[in-house]
Amino acid sequence: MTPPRYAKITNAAVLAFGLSAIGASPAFAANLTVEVSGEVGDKGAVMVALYKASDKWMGKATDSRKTAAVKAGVAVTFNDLAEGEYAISLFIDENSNNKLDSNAVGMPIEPYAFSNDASGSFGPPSFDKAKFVLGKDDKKHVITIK
Amino acid sequence: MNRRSFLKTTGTALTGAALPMAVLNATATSAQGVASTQLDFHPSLTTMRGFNGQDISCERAMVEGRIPADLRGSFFRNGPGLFERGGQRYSHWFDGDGLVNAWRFSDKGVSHQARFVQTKKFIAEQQANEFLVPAFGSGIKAKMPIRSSDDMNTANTNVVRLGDRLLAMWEGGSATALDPDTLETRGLVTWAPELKSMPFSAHPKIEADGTFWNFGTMMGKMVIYHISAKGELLRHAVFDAPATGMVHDFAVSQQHIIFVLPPIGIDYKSVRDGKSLGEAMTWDANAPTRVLVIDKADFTKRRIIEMPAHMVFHFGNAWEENNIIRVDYVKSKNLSIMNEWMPKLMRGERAASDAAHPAFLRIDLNKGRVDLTGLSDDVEFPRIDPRMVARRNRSIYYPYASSQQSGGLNGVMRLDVDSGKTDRYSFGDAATVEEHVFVPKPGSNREGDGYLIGVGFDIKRQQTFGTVFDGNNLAAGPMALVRLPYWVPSCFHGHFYAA
Repeated sequence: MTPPRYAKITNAAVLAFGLSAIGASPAFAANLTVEVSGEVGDKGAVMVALYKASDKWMGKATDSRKTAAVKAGVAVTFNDLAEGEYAISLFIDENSNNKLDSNAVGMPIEPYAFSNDASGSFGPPSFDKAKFVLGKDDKKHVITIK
Repeated sequence: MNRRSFLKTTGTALTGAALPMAVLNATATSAQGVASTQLDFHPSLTTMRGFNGQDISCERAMVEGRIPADLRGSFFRNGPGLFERGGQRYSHWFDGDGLVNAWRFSDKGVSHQARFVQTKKFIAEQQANEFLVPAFGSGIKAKMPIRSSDDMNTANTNVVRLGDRLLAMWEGGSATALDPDTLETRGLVTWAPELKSMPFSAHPKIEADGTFWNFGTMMGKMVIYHISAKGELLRHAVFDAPATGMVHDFAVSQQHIIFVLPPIGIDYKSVRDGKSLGEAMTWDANAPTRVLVIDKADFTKRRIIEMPAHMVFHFGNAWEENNIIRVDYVKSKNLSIMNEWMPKLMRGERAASDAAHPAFLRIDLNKGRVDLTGLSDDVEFPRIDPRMVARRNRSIYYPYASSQQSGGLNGVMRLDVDSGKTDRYSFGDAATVEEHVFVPKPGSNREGDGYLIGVGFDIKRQQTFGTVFDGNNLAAGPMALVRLPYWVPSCFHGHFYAA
């Protein structure tokens, strides 16, 4: 519940989408499809950030995707990923200003979610709570906006 | 009829939709952290058992005495109404879900209705039949995501009418709008995008012309709201506030906004270890209680004056003359009432609390100094004639405890601030008394000319009643008692609106 943790979510989101995609292309690679369901709404865009275990969680993301929000849900795909542990952080940029808006004390006021539908208390969950394993095969991971 | 003996007379047949007491008497199954399948509730504390989540109403309550013909309107009150789910009981009074009550005075008599505010928390927990989110004073483990304080918002502290809606208010998050006629929940109120989910305190100050002031504190920030009588946000400001873990109420004078900030800290480590916010609050007796004075016309003009540590929850009023501000509030020593006495209430234990006394603060803005004086009466929930907010008032109305042994508030008292004289009435051992509000007599413009109305609990009958006193003669006892055929959970605060 300490103040800096709100700021962390916001900064991470901004950092993640300030980067251009740096695709990893190892020899044995799998594709990861992230399906976003639940209360996606139809305003703005869904911003999805992908982290691997060696990244600073909620810092600089490995890769990111942006897609228009659709009520029925959306899906984005990250191609040619190496085997390993990954986690997702996403938010809905309802007002299309390319950032996760927050209120006057830095509390996010646009919807956000994490892989495994993990949640933290007044802040993001740990990487361990949000992580999942990507093997040699393609994988689909569903995240629900609540 | 002798008004003083109202509570001793045997009741005649009750009218209205009486619910069987068996339905209402939700037996406590377990106290938070305490194995207590059968809490032995003191009969004076029955209302602390809470409801199961059911709404309740009574079309016509039984009236003893006479309701004045010019007392017509709706008396809205709010308080925590549900304290246990799935065998788990909250350990703090502040934790319960908001149950809004409407006592409607019409030519047909007095009706009563109470409905739970359908907050996100209430709906989810009602469905799950268990507590899902942390509460102010109970360390409940989160079982659903907490994205903002509104996910824990219980809308349980006060209710006010603003424009065409009622606002059920809580200290830590947004107000919740309700329909004034049906008490149906409409949803959270957002005043501006950057104010979404920001705290909107349960103690707004409303001037006679309807000008509406409120504040919120969160994470070292304070927000001030200046809202029109119609309910439009006119101005707001967010700024760094002096560190304190809790700010419950404030006061406004003609030109200033006044806060009294007690030295409450929060041990964030114990919050992370699973303690509730209330349990993690610390008291630094060596640190000052700070007076923060803000210019109403320019929120950037702020000054702080320090005084010795003491605690405050509720204010009566503030007014100023020649750069000297007078503020009255109810003062107590430290956090013991909140952290020791209230958890006892929740276990059904009647116990003497640390006293809370009328306090009078004089702020000399020229010299930058404050003087604090007080009285020894045991009081809480101060209210004034609503026409006198931010103006020089003569009277303050409080529920009071007639003796330390009474174990709680059992009477009402008017204090004449100028003369120091009091006018009071006590129900003795027969009843406990909640906040009473002043209702001006229609057509009159003299302070104090009107009725003092409120709610009490008849310990012997185990029923809730409404009171109507002549504001100029409390000692005569209630002009009328409005008896409900059931009890309802105790409320904190509310407002009356003339028809």
